[in-house]
Amino acid sequence: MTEPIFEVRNIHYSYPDGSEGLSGVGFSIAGNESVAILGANASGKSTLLNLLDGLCFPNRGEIIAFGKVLTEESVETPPFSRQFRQQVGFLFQNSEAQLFNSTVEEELAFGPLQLRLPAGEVERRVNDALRLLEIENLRDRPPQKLSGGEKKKVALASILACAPRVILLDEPSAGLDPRTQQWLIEFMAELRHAGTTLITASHDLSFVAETSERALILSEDHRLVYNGPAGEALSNLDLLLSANLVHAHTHIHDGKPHLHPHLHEIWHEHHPHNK
Amino acid sequence: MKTPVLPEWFSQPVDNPPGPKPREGRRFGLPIRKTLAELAEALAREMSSPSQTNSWLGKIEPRAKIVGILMLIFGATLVHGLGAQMVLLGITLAAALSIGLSPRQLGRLWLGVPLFSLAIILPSTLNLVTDGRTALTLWHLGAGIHIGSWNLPEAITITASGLLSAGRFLLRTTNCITLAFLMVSSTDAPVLVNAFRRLGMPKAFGMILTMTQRFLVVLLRAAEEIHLAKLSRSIGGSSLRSEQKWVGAGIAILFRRSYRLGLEVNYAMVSRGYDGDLRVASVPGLQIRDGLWVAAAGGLIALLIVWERFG
Repeated sequence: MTEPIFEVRNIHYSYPDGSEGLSGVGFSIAGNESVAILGANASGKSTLLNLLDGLCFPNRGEIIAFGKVLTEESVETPPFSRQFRQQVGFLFQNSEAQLFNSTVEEELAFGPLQLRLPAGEVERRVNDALRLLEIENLRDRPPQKLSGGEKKKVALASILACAPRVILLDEPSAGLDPRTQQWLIEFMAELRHAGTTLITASHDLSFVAETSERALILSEDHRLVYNGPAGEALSNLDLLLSANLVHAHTHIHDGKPHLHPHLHEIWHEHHPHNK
Repeated sequence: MKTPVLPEWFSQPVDNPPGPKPREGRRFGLPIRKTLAELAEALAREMSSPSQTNSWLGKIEPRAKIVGILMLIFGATLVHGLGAQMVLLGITLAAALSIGLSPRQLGRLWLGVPLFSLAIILPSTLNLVTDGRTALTLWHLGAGIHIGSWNLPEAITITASGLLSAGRFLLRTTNCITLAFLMVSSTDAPVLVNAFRRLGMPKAFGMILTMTQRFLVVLLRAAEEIHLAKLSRSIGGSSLRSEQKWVGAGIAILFRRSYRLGLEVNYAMVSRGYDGDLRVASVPGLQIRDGLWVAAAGGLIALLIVWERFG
């Protein structure tokens, strides 16, 4: 295993209204890992991604990124601030918020320009990112007018133009049609081959099964309850039930209702003893 | 988990719902939705367009352009005479048409802000505020009417000097607004903010300008979404007045939602390296034509002042 990129040490986070966001969470993530952060709604997945991206900071505990503690001061002080922003990309759940420029081309150029890359390099990266994601036809379109799938591709391209080593993805499969979802799964595999570290927050278990090797599971009381191989987590029904990632599902067979754990989008067979 | 049981009313036939029957053939909610959508669209497009940014004014180096326009705006506040103001307006109008702004765009601009200025200045045309020769008598009050210790004149009139100062104010406002519009319509918003910063504008102002522009788009889109969600649950028609009332009441919800979205936009910008200084694609350095532009702006103002004082 390579040097850790992120070391999260016993962090606690409360929202401005005082409600708890995360409680005593700790783990580390090495380079070229593909890690899923799983949890029910409001368990703290997106907050954890925001903390890893230095957009907010823990009340207690610390996060070490690339060997340096993430603080408000460190992420605003060059040269670390620029290195950190270049190395960590964030695909937000809401593409609407992520795409704030008037054309797709400007959107892709925004990151490289803020990182003070020379004009020629910015242009090269914009062209390459457009070509890579096959969205050259969208170059002059306003991002607000694109479909959900196109928006997601533009958002991803805008991050890739900064050439990050780590990409944080917040519910990347949400709102995508099956074909775009499959495309995203394959694209994430390509990024892994290229050595990119992927950290995906999701509660879509089938998506996680295809994209992540390791899973971190957050409980509904905002604690880390699992840190290990994704395959083991996805086959541990008691763990998934306790984290509200699956639910006991009612079926009626031959006029009799019965309960059993139900994994969303994962096919299950009914046997006579289930009745 | 208990199986949810739907209430009885949930399965009532759709052709006979309880409550008053809606009025037939009535379209509702469309004016507000249209306004919100058009505003969001216009802001998302930004004020500048390629035809203006590629014009002769668009090609002036942004810092030189700002200096020249600010000199003209300052000059517009210095000259007093209606003649000088009219000359300046004529030149500004010619410049606006030459960079491709349509009379319709200018008309919309002049219908909005100068009309608002006119509403403010109108009371000063009355003899209650400005003494002078009567141009038009509005109302005969009679002698001896007073409010407290304030004796009212026998008639409320519009005075010639009041009209003159109102005309001066209106022309000055129109000149300043048109000049500012020339600047924003011929320069991309990020380039403009960047140029202001390079001229020494504090970082915080640049950040506020940048975020305001992004936030307005988000705010209007959130308003449109809330209104659409309301429309999808509206069965009966409602009047424009009740729609307007609803918009007023929804402002708090809208503010909360747009604040959250605005925060997300800010996070997305910071995440991609935005640190308060908006960097843009390289802008060519100062050239001779930029110097000529600043000199022309300064020369025009000097000429107008000299003409007014000694002409």
